[in-house]
Amino acid sequence: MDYYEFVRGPLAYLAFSVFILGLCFRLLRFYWKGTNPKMLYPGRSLTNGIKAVFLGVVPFATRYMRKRPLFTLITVFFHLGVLLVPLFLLAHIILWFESYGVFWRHIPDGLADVLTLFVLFACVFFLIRRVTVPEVRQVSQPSDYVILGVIFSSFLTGFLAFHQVGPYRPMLIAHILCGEVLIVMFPFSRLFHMVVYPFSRYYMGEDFGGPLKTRDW
Amino acid sequence: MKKAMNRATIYLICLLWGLGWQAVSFAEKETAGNPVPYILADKARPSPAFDHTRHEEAFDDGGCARCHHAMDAETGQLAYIEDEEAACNECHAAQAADGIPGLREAAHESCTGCHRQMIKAGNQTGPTTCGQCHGK
Repeated sequence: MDYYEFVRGPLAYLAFSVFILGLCFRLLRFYWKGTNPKMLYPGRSLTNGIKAVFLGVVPFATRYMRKRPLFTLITVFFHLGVLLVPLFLLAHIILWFESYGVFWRHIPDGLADVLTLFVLFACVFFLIRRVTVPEVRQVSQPSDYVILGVIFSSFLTGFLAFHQVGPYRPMLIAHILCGEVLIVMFPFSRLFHMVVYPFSRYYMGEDFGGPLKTRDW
Repeated sequence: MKKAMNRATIYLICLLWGLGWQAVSFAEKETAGNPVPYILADKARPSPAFDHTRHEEAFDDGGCARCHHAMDAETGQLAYIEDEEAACNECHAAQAADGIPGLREAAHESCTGCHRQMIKAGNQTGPTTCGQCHGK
């Protein structure tokens, strides 16, 4: 049995199916479980809600980000890396082209290298932070630690495979497997915050802006 | 106090790491005589080492028609024209043009496509992964 063809073909298909179905399931559950809360001081602020969504991603826009400047810098580049590299690396795009005939622009390989190394470092930083900073440790679930490990190993195996350090085929298969674990875990872990983020930030923003008439910090 | 010192040390290491990578990313990388910053450099994958004899021997009839094709003037179709076997890059340029796929698309389709079919048929065959063909 050709392991590479297996993880590249049927297993990848399965992983993406679980990803999409899980996304739909979680979004639907998110919608069903939402209730209209009884508000003591009714009042909504649409503008503040929308502002809160965008300010949440602008570095140093919220008070928390200004209180933790180093964390903010590291997380900005971390997110840049985990978003740009999986979606816009040439090798990944070629795989999509081989499977479905789609192609899009790619980032230079040098940039991908630098981003990967930064992501690896940032994962270590986040692990240390998650263990030492009390307000983070107390709200951590086991899946948070697992996610860090999976992201770290995905980027590490990808980097080593790209530069052909170590046994190539096993490294590549390990990379694909780590990526598939990540994809399957996506809807069922903190990574889902990528999808949920606009809703929760909007809600906090409109709540702060309406009755309290302040910015959501 | 001790906690603050530990945090400060970690922060310092982070900062140095970040600055170090800033320095590297703007270091120049030679690419074909045109130095570009590393952060903008594309890694050109080395051409695969292609063993023509081995592929000839893999087919009973030499298998020329499997890979060599040219545009037949009469029928307007791709066909194998004996004694006019050309190298791939004679028609397939780096970018796609005039309905001719680019070299990468054509090579992947032709080489790895065939290897995949053979794997499905359960035969011994050549590589399908990136680094096995484009080995450094």
